[in-house]
Amino acid sequence: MSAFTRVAIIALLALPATAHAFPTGEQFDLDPMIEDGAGGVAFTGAPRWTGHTCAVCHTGGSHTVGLRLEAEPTSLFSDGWKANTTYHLRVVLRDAKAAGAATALGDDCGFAVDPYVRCDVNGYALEVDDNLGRPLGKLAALGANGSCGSAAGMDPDSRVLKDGTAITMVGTHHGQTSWDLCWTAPDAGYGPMVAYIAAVDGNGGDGTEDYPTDVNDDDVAAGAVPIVEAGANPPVAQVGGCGASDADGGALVLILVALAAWRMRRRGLALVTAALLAQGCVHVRPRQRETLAQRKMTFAPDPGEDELDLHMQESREGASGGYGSAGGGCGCN
Amino acid sequence: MQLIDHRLGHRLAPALFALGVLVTTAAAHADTGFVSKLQVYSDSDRTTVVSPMVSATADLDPNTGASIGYVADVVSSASIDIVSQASPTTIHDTRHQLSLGGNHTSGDWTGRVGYSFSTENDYRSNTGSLGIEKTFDDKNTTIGAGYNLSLNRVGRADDMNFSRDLTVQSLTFSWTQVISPRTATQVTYELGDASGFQASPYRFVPVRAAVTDAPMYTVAETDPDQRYRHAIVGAINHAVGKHGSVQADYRLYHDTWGITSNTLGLRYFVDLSSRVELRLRSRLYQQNGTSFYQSNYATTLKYMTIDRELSPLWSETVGGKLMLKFGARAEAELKMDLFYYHYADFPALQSRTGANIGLGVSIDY
Repeated sequence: MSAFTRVAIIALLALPATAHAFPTGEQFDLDPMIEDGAGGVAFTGAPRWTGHTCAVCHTGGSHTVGLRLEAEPTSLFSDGWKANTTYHLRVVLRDAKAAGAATALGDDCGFAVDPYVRCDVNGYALEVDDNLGRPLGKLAALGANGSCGSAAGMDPDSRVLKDGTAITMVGTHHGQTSWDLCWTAPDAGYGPMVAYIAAVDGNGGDGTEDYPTDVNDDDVAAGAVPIVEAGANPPVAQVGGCGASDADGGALVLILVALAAWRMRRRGLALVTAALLAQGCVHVRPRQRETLAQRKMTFAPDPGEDELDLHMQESREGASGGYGSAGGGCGCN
Repeated sequence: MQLIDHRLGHRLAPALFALGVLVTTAAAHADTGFVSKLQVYSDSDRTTVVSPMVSATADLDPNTGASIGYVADVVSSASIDIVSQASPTTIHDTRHQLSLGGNHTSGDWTGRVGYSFSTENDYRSNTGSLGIEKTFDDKNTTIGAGYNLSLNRVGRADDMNFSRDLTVQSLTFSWTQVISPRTATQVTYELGDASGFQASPYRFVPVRAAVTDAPMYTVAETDPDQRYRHAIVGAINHAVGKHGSVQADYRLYHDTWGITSNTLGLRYFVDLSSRVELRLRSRLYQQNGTSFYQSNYATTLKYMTIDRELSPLWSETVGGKLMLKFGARAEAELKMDLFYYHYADFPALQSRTGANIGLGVSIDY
């Protein structure tokens, strides 16, 4: 990749928070409530994540790590993107040193050797958006023969999120500081774009096999690389959709309930349902679910306790149903 | 329920408990969770139930999970139900239940299967369940459906010739809706069908001119063989401040035996510190009696019951639970609920009070 034009963008963000690390990449697609995942969110720093990057969770680093984005053909940065052209990109993490004490014994991030050694596991996320904040183009892992468009290899560097909007690292590889990927530009006419990139210089958890990764004392770099469109066509107009909102919208519920009560006085059940479901159009984005992901906000925070309680209640009351399983047996005492 | 002390059952309970611990510990690798609880129920009607429970969950791959669980109910009772039948003053019984479950997620779809086997001295139950759910709108909406089938065999202690079947099915539909970054709602409807023997094989109904009179004779309790149940639950969870949440739910229930009930639950969660979480809760329950329930039968009728659970009653439960975190992966809990049941038309017992005390520990590997 020596012929690559190099564009180095360094933008460091540090937003305090706590969360789990996503060392394998696959976790970005898992459910945050039940699978310790990211719910399809890769914090690339794009506007749709309100600029949030990996620094939302990974904190405590020295703020010295940097990023570089390379491309082939190099005309991507000099002339701009061309419709339906595939570009080979490489994300490079510069000056990674958070896990400087790690010992490079095998690639399987410390698990290839016995006893376990501290792992130097790093990662990244990237997406390419137009000036309306929409991810565009097609992302893919590099093919097995080292070129874009060929079949994927057994152990690619990168993995595309299920919804295709972003790409991240995959697997855990000791000491990896660069990742290859492919991006195919969309049809002409979308105008200038920006490649949003965020990367983590991980420090290898607490150095034990039990905690090979965590979010503490990791350094983070993030940046935004502008890419013009060759020919500079005007952007496509935005289309409609359900708006995002941080508000509770309680007033809307009350209004709907009041209207329903006025028109259907004797249908209490319908009122309850209307009150509960009337706000279906308020679109809460994955990044807004930090509170909802807490155990205390789930409808069955302790299923084991629920089963014991329900078994007791259903054997002492005439009603049953609607709250889940009470287990089998009589409970006739 | 068998009316003698069953030593085998008492020996089996701790043995299975230990087996559960061994199984779940052996399976405790990455992405594995282990839960153990012990709950003790005691009421003023001289009934005590000790319920140990162990369960484990494991992610077989990023999209597939499995679970196994064991629970027992070790019962000692000299309740009015038992004393009024001129039985030995105290009965002992143990219920064992083994459960297996699995789930798989593919895209927006999640499927679940489950099976449980429950056995006690005079009752056996095999239950299977299937469930599927799909998320929509960036996971803001989840629609789910489930089906349960439970095949039960009802026996009578010391009576080899008594055997009755009871089949219980239920269909469940649920709609979970995120309506704001701090609020989520859920509506669940369950249609249940119980077909078969639903009376108690031990209860005999006295026939007498008045409650205070001596019985002229007694007849075996008879309930209808068919019962359709409808339950709809609306629930809402709302975050309060930075460290708390309030959960409320209401259930409206009606069945073809004539019971209509209302259940209102309220729960408040708050983080007392980074390691301590407190839950306070209240549950109010009310029902009328079945259409065929009478506090006294002066003559023989087609359906006759002296089951207080089929009489008009209300109850209130209040309690608290403390959850203590130890590191990032372990948690212990301590809970106590106090309850009161009031029977409006059950001459043998006007009320009962009691407590439900629980201990638990959970570990994520």
